Amino acid sequence: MDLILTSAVDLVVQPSMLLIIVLGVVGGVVAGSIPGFSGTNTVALILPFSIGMEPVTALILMSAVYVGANYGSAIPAILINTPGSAAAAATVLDAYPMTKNGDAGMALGISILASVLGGIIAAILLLFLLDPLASVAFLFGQPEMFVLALFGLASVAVAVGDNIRKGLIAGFFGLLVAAMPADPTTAQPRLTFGYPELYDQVPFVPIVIGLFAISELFFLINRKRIQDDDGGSDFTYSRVIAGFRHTIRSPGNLLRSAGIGTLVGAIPGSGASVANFISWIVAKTSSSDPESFGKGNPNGVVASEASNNAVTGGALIPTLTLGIPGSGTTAVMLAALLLHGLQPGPQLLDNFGVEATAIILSLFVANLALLAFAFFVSKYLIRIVLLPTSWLVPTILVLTVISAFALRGYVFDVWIMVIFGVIGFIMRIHDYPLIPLVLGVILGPIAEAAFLRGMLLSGNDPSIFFSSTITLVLWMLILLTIVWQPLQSRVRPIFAG
Amino acid sequence: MSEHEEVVERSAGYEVLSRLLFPLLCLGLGVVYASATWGMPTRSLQYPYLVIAVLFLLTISTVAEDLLEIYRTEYQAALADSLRSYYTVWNLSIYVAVGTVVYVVLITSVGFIVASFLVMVALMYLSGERNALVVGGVTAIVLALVYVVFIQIIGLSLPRLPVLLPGGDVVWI
Repeated sequence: MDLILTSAVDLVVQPSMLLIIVLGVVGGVVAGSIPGFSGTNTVALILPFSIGMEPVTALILMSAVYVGANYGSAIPAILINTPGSAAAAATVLDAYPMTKNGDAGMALGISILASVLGGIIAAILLLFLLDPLASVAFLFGQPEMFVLALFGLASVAVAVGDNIRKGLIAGFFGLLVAAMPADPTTAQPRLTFGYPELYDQVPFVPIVIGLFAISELFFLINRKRIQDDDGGSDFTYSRVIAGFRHTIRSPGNLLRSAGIGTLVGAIPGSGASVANFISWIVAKTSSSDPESFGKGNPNGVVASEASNNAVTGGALIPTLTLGIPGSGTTAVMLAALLLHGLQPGPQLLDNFGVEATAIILSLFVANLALLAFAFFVSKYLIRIVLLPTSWLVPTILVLTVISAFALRGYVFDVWIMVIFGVIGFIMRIHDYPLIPLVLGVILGPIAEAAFLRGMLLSGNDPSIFFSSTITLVLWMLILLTIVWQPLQSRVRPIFAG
Repeated sequence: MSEHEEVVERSAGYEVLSRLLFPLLCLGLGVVYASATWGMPTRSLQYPYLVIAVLFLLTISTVAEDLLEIYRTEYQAALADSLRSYYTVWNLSIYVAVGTVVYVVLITSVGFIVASFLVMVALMYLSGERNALVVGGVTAIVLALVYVVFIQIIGLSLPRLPVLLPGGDVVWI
């Protein structure tokens, strides 16, 4: 093991490798900050160019891009309420209110350090707990995944907003939207309205952009600037450093969120889009001031950002140990592994121990490179909030149209974005939370596939969803989640009175 | 009532129209889904029908609660007053919404760059920016960056407009 580790360190600290990591991180941050241009897109773009590289160089470059892109998606989330990808959807909840309150610098600082530390913690966990974590992740079969998806949705519906029923309506609306394409097991077309673009999947990136960015434009146009008053704002590095300090002073939140990110990332099919919500909810429920979450609580940003970057490490667990990608990006990396002749699976660490360890170690270096680069550019990024909205709104509109179009190249997806922009506006006017809808659309395909496979496995017997200890515990948690808040509001006055 | 709506003069008709819009959209999607898929193999529909059933229960209870609350509240304004007040508060947002729809229609007919130019200029003008130099400068800078980064470097094939030059050559912009 020592020999493998030493050889891996030697490999990673070569100047050429360090340069590749830095370039990968910078490219990843830039690409990730373009709304709709996710880590998966960026890593996929590199795949053809990586064929001429050494296998380990190609994979280290991809890991660096992955780390950079995962952070990059937080930048538009913080500054213009537009998550670069679903991984930063929970970041907007507290980061954008912080920006509107004149503290974009601190929000950026928190997101930088929480991302970096989350990524490093995940890399440490990955280095030492690769095998045990893989076995925990695979305790989750199809029935467990279905109930876990419902639990995720229920807890988000309860945690976001004041009205559980409105949250659940938004969540189930999202699940129904996600169930519009063809049946995943029989390919039977369902509600596609005759559009072939809807046959395969409902594109969730245009939906996320529509709900957050387009609906925000309708509000933003009525203001002079994102941040109305710049009198008390600090546009130097000092607020970014204040964000660093806040992150360091939240070790519990940081460790817990990074742990959640690593574990959720290790569960195939989930990933950063789910992990950031779970961490945010856990941070909110364990806070002494839960009401301030969603209104600009810095701890919400710590939770979301630490977890979504920790997913990069977690998602490598099933990819490396079992050959099953934990996320879209690691699916592309899996293709790269196979392309370069590295067969993932239990033998990977025996046959390619140095290479696998070098990939994990490169995550440390990539996160350090991220810290330096993101800190350097933060001072300049913050100034976006002072631009007049008469410039910003048309510019954001053009960028969102490109983002919606970029993923699949369909104008149809741009229409989806516009429709969900209007839906998002109506929902926000009447206090229907957007997050459960987003999560419903993201979790929908996971939940439906798990439901259908579970039913197939059991010969159409729904009792399979109550058959294991994990499912029973999850059902109890769902019940508690939904019942607890109304029960608490009825019981508390009795005791108070 | 949300904080965003406090400035709109409220009437019973307006409350019904606006508050029930999203719940009715949910119900409508459920009904359309069920009618479009009725008679398909049961296996493909177990999950979505389960989702529709839960969505219906939640939505109908919310609609009933909202209607009851509207019925119990005394409103002073008429529907026309509410709509006029709504337009006064949200007129710029309505321009952005209409501009966005026109933009997407234009993209498919005149290409991305020309459509973006037209919509950016129109939205900047409508939102109060009257300095032609600023409007032209911001639009030119944004579109130049978009062209270089997304079309030239990334190679994104955004819809483009073919322009026939006098010599017979075609240029795509």
